[in-house]
Amino acid sequence: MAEITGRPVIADQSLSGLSLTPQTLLEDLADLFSRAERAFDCARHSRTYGVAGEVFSVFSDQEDYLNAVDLAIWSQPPETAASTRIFVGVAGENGCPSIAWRAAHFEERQVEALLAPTRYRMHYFHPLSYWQVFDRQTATGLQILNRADQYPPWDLGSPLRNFLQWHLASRDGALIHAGTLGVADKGVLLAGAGGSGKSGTVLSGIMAGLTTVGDDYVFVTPSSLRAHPLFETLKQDADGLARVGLTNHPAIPANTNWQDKYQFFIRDLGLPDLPASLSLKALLVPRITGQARTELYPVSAKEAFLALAPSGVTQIPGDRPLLYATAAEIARRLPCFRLDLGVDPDEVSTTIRQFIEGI
Amino acid sequence: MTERYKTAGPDIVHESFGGDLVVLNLRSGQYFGLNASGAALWSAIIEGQDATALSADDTTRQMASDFVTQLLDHELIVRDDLAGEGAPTASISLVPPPTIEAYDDLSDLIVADPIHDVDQNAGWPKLPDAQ
Repeated sequence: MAEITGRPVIADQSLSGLSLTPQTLLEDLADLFSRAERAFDCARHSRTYGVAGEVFSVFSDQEDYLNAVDLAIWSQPPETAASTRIFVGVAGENGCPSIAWRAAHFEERQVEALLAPTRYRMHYFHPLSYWQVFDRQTATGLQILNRADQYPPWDLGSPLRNFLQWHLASRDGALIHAGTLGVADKGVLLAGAGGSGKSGTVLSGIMAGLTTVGDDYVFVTPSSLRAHPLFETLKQDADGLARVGLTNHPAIPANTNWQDKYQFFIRDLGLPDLPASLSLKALLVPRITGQARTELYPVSAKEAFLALAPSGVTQIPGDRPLLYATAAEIARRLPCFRLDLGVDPDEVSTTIRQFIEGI
Repeated sequence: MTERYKTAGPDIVHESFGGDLVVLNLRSGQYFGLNASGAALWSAIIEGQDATALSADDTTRQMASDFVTQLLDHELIVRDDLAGEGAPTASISLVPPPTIEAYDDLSDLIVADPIHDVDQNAGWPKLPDAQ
């Protein structure tokens, strides 16, 4: 990751106060990106990340935020110049425009539908006045915060996630909310809502020597059925850490996150080199059963889709129809299995290893 | 008298799995599963075929009518009074009877459409003082 420092600070606040309305939204967003050019020029820090074959440059005065992004993003050495640039700033500071929604209501789906055929994507998390806006034509993103520490509590687990989706959507794929496990180049997706055992299965699997390309979001191209890593983040509660002997591991932070889970990073677990991508061979839907042995049963693509699609469609704004269609295509193209989890993490991992090796 | 319908806008998306269909209303976050008969009716209806002529006898005609009512109740389709008469009408087998299942356990996963009142002067999301 490259670092640039020493940019000047702009004191004037003349860029503040851009109003957005549904009636003039496209013109307003064009105006916003025009004004934001100065913010890119004036940002004091920048980083460059290679993600899923694309290169993202991030500019900001918020060094602490960039440091947090460094930890979470699964970056590979960039092989080309940046294809996308993103500015992260605080409204009204150092050239960063501030935005206000000037309409009686903000209806996210209505705004999404309005912007769907256009070059723009937008997300507004209203409790914190947190904005993400992306111009697909110029591959330029703006993340505008009301204050430096005001981002949603889940943001640092998958920072810049929406920008990754909005740019990678041009690459015949989409972000999929699923865990992954693999043996060499072959892998499986694990899909399920919270409490299904997905993250515990991934964690026990990688501690038993399986590979992974992530446990939160991965980028999947349905045509080639390959999964690419996006984030190093793992999350697990105290019981889950104890099950795999990680309670006192130096990678585990002292405090839990907003979900009362410990949030840590794959690179800190001291694992062997992990693959740059996985060739997907199956879609597994885990289920905690309390039974002694782990078992796999074929399930319909429809059942697997209903485990795979909802969380991603819920969490990523702007491209929901694409996320829905991509999850469906993946479920149709992969053999799908219910994974009834046994109680012994080693036995679970061994079963999954044998399954992957045999498929 | 003919009855023609269309999907209730871009918020309604659907995907086929074998003969079955899963329909999502992005506005409400509700998922619906249609069996093969329901999926065949759905396809014919959103293609603009006359809903009153999709089945061969009175019994199946009532089934089709009830199914259309369910789709309307779930806000998945709307009447399309502007549709022309040109769409072909095909008779559809309704064995087994068409079903639509609402996956209510999934609907709480989406909050796709928050609506908030605002102070007209300060702009959203500041609530009016009266609230």
